[in-house]
Amino acid sequence: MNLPDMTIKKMKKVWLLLILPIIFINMIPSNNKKIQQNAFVSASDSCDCYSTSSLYNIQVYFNNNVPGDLKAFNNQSQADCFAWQEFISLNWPVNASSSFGTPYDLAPVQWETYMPREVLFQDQGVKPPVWGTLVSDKYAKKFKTQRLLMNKMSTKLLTFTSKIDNSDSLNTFSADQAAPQGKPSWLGSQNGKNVWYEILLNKDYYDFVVQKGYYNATIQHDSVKAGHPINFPQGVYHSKVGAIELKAAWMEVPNPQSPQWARYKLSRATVLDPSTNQLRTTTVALVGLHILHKTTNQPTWVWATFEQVDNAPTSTTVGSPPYGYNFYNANCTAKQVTIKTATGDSVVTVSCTPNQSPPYYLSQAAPVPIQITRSNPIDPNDAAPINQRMQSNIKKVYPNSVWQYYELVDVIWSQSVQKDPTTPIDAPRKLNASSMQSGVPTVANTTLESYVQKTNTCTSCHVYSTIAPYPLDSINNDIFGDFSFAISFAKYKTTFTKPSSSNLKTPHPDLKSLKKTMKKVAIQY
Amino acid sequence: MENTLQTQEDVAEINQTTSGFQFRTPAAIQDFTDNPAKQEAMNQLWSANLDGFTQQGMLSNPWNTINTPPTTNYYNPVQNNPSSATANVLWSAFPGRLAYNYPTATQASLNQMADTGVMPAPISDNPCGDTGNSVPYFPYGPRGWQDEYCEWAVTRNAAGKITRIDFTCENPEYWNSLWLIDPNKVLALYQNILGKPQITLADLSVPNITDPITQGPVYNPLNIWNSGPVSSATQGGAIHLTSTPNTLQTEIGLATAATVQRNNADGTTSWPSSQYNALLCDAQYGQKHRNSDPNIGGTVNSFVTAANVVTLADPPGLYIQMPDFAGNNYEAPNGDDPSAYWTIVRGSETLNSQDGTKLPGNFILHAVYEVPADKDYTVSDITINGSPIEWGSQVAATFKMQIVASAYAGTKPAGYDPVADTDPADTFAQPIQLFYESYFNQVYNTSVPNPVDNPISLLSNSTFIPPTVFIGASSIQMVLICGTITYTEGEPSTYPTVSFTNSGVTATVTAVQNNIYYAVPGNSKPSENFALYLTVAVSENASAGVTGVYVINQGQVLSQAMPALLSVLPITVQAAIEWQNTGVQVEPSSLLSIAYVSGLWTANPQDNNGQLYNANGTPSNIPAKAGYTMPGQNEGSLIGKVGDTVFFVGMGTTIPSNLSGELLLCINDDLNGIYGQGFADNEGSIIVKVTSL
Repeated sequence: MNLPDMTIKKMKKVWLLLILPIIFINMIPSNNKKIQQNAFVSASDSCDCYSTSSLYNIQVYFNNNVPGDLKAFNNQSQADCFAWQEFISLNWPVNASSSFGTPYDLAPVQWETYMPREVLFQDQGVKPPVWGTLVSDKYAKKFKTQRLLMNKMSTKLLTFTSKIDNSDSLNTFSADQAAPQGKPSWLGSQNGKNVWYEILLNKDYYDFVVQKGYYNATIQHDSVKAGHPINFPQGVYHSKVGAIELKAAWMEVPNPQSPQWARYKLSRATVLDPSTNQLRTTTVALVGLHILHKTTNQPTWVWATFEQVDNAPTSTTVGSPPYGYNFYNANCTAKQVTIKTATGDSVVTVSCTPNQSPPYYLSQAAPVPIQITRSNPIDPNDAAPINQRMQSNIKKVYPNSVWQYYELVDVIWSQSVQKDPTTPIDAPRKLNASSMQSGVPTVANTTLESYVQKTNTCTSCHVYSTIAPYPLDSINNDIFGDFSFAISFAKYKTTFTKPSSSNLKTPHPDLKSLKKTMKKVAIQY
Repeated sequence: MENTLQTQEDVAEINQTTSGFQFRTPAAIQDFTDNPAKQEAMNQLWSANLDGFTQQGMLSNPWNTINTPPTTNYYNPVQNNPSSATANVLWSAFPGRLAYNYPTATQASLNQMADTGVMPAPISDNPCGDTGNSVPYFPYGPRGWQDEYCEWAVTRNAAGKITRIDFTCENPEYWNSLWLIDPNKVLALYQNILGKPQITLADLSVPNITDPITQGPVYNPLNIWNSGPVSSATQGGAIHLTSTPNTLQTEIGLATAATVQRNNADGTTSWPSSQYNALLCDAQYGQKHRNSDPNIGGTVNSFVTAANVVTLADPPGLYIQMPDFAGNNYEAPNGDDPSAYWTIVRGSETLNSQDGTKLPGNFILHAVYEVPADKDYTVSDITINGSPIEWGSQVAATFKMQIVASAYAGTKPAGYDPVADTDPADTFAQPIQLFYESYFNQVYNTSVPNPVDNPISLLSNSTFIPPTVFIGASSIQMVLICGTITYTEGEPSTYPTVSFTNSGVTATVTAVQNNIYYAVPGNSKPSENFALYLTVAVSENASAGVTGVYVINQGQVLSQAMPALLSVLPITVQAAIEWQNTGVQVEPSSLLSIAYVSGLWTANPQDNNGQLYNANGTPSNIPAKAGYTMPGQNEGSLIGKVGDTVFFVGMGTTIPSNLSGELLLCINDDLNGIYGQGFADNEGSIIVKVTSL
């Protein structure tokens, strides 16, 4: 759902980039129980799910069983209900003693135990640690001096993506969104904090990457050179889950005991404070969640996105939520912000025009609220009535559940099956546009694509996904990466033996190419 | 007055309903609000047509395929109309097979193909098989490739900028029915919808033939004003669907066929959507890789898998949905509202079921996207997601199509293996379509060009609306299109025999012709068929109604009849038709009586206080003047003619002896319009019965 930021850096910067841990969220389950994926841990309460026609009913179950697929995707109503089933099961508490969405429960839900992208795709393309690892040794070591409590098997590390700004200097952290590229794209909430992001991959994604060796860019390239495209595993109805990639948006919560947070999934987090460059622990509230899921019926993935209901109004929304909006203020006034620049302090204006990306980087000044509205109304035919039905159903079974305060924004799916390529193809993948379905034509999450809500829908960007760049085979750098931007984060072994003097006289063409082109591509998810 | 083929009483007989249900016209549109009698006739005719199409679909194919049983989980609401739930099935109006067949084409190229029909390469003629021959892109026809049940025609100004796009999803059967009720209504609608007063009745008619019943012109569904993707002041326009698979009869056929459960590889009859194209191929309905057919079929099939009994919700039809102007980022110059240029010309945004429940989706039949001439810009200056509108297809890509299904809970039927051809020993002759011979000869021999340079016969745009014959008519020359017949050329004793479910109708096969190559309406490609030339007779005691047709190969037992291929009506004399042919053959030795049965008419709406009267003529008793049908007899009375002999009939008479020829009947009126409007202002019709004495 995001554009890759193809910011190019020179070789000397690579090592710094590779050790850019950004944020940690401590999520220590009360019992250090091994996570069982796909196991029922609750009674199977269920409810009907459909928009207007009961003929399209999908039975949605309240448990942690992430669905592998629908029997059939016949219409938007069914795609939306599949998304709700995903959302419920993925947000099922890991702790068997927890209930579904107990307010103020900081314990992790299922998807939060999935593997962070930075743990799966490690420096030098080394094999990732065992499933369940949330913090890599490297990251843990990096922040050891701050003596923060981190356990690599039980502390969930959420490595927020890093990028390099236009001034060619390294940001020490980034809370930027995928777009716009090349300029600031962080999001400030009404409480004056910035939103944090994370990307996670499920076990079927992990297993596939490990089994194929795709954690290493070189192996990805070897594979495509051998004629094998990278096709992630498809979920199967009532069977294996298939590849899932998630991206979450978290809002900082300085006052977690306040009654308004009974409407949010909260987690404990450790963030790198932009003003001090120091780690600090805080509480964060889930405000946005993308769920990308590859299935047999949907090899072009199911693209679902959810939000907390208090995020932002549409242009026609009447009234406001009981505690106000997270990203909108009806009485907004333009703010003058003093920022640091290379030439000294400067003053910029953050306007109240909705959905304008901020005029400065968070390295230059503290965040301020950014005015956001929902550009694309939630599909009134399917998503809106289904949200009402599902929120009501959740409330019925789990009266205080925070999940009744979340809503499906939309789902993109394909009406006809568009099969996986059988040989490696170049990005962008061509889709049959007339087959692509969604409730409204352009799908965007106000917390994840705040500034490009009208510009691109998820698939129009993700067709550009590629395998990871590898300078020794740069001709294949544009090979399609099966819609996943995460796969392009694989690294390769960069140490090589110094050539002998004889070889130096006639440099190996590959080495010559390497010296010339060895750059690090940092992709902003 | 204009022609009215069927009065309410007439069609009540052919529309035998046990549920009291009557199918409504598409979007419940009423084109004769100015004439309740014609509207009622249209409503009755339309419901009878849909009843017939439904019977045809529910029978499936008992002649030459296996695993095509009669449906168990489709219902004909005319027979049984329980309360039901509805669900709409949606798909994109943009032809989905383009991107499938040309996967490397850019979207811009696909947009152009969708408008022009000019394709970069041939395609396989066998999408369901592993092997096939390369053939020009089908379906053929001037808009053949627009095969998602939505077609459009684009009007451009001298600079090539689009000024207007007409989108239609109206089925051809409706317009053919409308023509049967009143060709002048069709003409008026063409002129009004397209804004082209220059259109004439002759433009809309098949040349060289007349309707044997009405003596009037025969509708040409591919007339110059409903042909091709370009509309101008001299030709083109989009009034109704023309691509050969874009018919309502085949949509019902698809829905009925899709209810049959199919065994799949996992041993169940439950199909994942990823296999909907395979299901389509197994069941042999629709065309693979369309946005519509696999999805419609798969969805309907899934409803039956869930133990429902289904039908197309009333009113059956194909419907355009509202475009999402904001969501697709339409932008017009000057900040104008781009949605203001979308006009629903026919149909409606919402529609209720007959019991008053709101039906899902929109019920648009014809929409126009047009920037008014007084604006200083054109449609081409409007952008969609940043791109100027260069092709109508770009707008088509922003709206969907729908059909609506109805269902009630039943039981799940058993599964069948894939459809396949029968063994020769179990193969029966298949009746397909029945035409008047004059129509067949003219239309079959008319070749229609198309952009892929693969002309096919205009007969591909015929319909399954049954031709009408009158009770008592004989020597009717007709052609029955058949499949899988056996015969030896030139040996009449080997010809198949033809009979009817109505025992009062008989036929003799006079000749057989093979290699009748056309796309049977509903099919995407032409195929080879047989033509049986028939001489048909309807006994004077035959009952009225729609009848099925049997074709039996020599040496075989009776097979199944194809339902609803012929409509038998009592002799109906229209006040507005001069010398209507009854089809009754009079021989010198004949002793025949004619008797008035029912109906009212008038030769002059100004007379008798506008009240219609019977075959006696005007109660004012006005002797007809010279130039009338029969001078001296009462105006408005019924007059007969055989050969050159004209005779008074009134409420009944015996036909004079020693005459030879067809019996013609006519109201006593001013034949040449010497004294006024002639027959043009006449109203009503009467029914008579001819009996041998």
